[in-house]
Parts: sequence; structure tokens; C-alpha cells
Amino acid sequence: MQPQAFSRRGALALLATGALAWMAVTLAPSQAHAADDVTVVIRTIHAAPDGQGADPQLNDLGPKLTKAFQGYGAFTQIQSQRVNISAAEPFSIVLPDGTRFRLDYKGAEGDGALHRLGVGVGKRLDTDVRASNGSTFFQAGLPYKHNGQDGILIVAISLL
Amino acid sequence: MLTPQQLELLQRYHDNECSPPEQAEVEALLERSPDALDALARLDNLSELYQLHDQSVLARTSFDGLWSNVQHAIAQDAAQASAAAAAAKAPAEPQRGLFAWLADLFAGHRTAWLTAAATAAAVALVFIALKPGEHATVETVVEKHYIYIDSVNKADPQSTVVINSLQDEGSAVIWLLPNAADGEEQDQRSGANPQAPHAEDEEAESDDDVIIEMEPL
Repeated sequence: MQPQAFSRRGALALLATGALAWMAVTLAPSQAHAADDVTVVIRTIHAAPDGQGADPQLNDLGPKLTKAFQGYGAFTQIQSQRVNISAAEPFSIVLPDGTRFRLDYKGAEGDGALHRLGVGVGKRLDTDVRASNGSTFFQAGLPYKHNGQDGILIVAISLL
Repeated sequence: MLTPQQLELLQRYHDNECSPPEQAEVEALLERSPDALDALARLDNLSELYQLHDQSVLARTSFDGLWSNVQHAIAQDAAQASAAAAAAKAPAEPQRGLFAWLADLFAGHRTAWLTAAATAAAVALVFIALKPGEHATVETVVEKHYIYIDSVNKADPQSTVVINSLQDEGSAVIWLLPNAADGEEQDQRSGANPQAPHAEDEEAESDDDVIIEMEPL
């Protein structure tokens, strides 16, 4: 039987397909490169032991707030700020009670999956935290009276 | 009456195919045998008839193109002979180009090779979609978050630091709990002057700090 003729063009097309497949497998980037900064949302929340309900602005934090602060029933967002922090630009805000809250960016590890942050509360607290993208952690305990209601301040730090 | 050998001899004599001794024998036979003379005469007549027949056939035959056909046939034979000779003398098959090799490889099985290429491309797409290290299994993906409190570098001796790890929620709480006596003082300060930073909490401002003052309530 006479074999089918396979044109040069067909052979080229087949070679190109194989080359593309090889490149896709070996050269596809596995993960993002290490980050130099991170975007965070910092929310200052008043938690009162008395009362019930949470500010609608805190709906996304509802389950975490309820579980972490079981002794508190009412949560009110006082302030919210979205910032991009980097090693070159440390960030700090003054809390309602006058305490300066500081957030320092110390780099990323794990190809940008985990960010290292320095958290400072005035001169009283200085901790090192590693947090993954999309996570939220809290600093809490400073006593504060909001709208005549006793309670504490909660600073919620959410990494985007 | 002539013998078969004599008849054959006469025929050969007629065709000039006899040797000298045979000729002498035939001539001797013709001198003594009227039957031999008669047979030889009949042979002469017969040959004339053949010649006339051949001439008439030849007259009707066209020889136009005969020579060119002969030449063509000779040329074909020569070409085949030279090709055979060249094939016999030809060295080892020369290096073929990549494309010719590929064409031979794929010839006759194009459908199968195209199917294989499409399968390879599909497998490559699957690898792209998946990150390395993951298995191609169908499962419910639950986004997990991680918080690690690595260290507490400095703490107010008048306060207590408590780390509450919420593994299920992927979160954590860093509690700074002032002692009872300090807590009362802080309550007074918080109510009187919520805006100004406290002297003991104020840190040296640097030009690099990004400071955001909170709006008064």
C-alpha cells in the first residue's frame, strides 16, 4: 500500500504542538514571586460586654469576632482604613484612646504566601506575626468607652 | 523413391547449407535419379511462392515510426540498465533532512499521530491548571489561612500579654490586658482626651512614618 504523504507543513505543525506542550509544562510559573509589600485593612472596633448585635460593616468578621470575643455581645466599627504597607513605609495610626498602633512590614516568605509583620501598641507591646494572604488577626484589650458604653478596643488587621 | 535423408539433403542443398562432400553426393544423386530432380524443382517453385507472399505482405506493411519505436525501446532499455547499475554502485543513503525524516515517520499514521499530539496538549493544559505538587483529584477546596505569633519582643511589665490562637478560624488574638490598677487609670484617660497621644505611648516620629489621625467622635 502506498503510504500517505505527510506534508512538511504538517510535520512543522506537529513539532510546534509538541514544543508548546513542553514549554507549558516546564516553564509555567508555579507561584508568584516574593512580595515587597502587602495591602491590609485595619479596622478599629469597640466591643462592649453588654448589648447584642454587630455593626453591619463587620459582617465579614462576624464568625471570627463571635468566637474570639465570646465575652462581648456588641461590636461597633469606629474606623476603617485600607493601606498598602511596605518595608520602606511603616504604618501607624492613633487609636481612639490615644495609643499609637504600629504595623511594620518585614517581608514575605514562602514565595509571597506568608507575610511577616511587626505589630506595636505604643511602648507596651511589640510582637512579630506571620500571616497569610486573606487572613485576619486581632489585637485587643485596651479599655475604651464608646458612646458612654464601657468596653475594649479591638484592632482587626486583614491581609488582602 | 527418395528416402527421408535424401529429401532432407536436397532441401539443404536447395538452401545452400550443404558441405562440399554433401554437395557432391547431391549432384551425384541428381544425375542418376529423376525423382531427385523433380523434388529439387518443386523446392524451387515453393520458395518462389514464399517470396511472393512475403513481398506482398511487406508491401502492405507500414514501417513509419518503426525506427523511432525501436530507438525508444533501446533508450528505455538503456535507461533501466543504467539505473540498475547506478543503484548497484550507489553509496549508502545520504543524510536526509529533518523534515523528510519526519515525513517518513508520520507517513501512513497521520491520524494516530495527530490524536497523540492532541492528547499531549490536553495533558499539558491540565498541568498548567494545576500547581505543581497538587494531585489531579476532585475535592472541595477550603481556603485556609495561617497566623503565627512568632515572638513577643517587648511587653509592658504592667500588662499581661495573652495569645489566643483560633486554629479553626485561621485567626488569632493578641491580648494586651492591663493590670487592674493601670486599667482604671487608662479608663479615665480614655474618656478625658481621646485624641491626643499619651506622653508615655508617644514614640519618636520619623519623617518616614505615615501617620493617620483619627477623627474625633
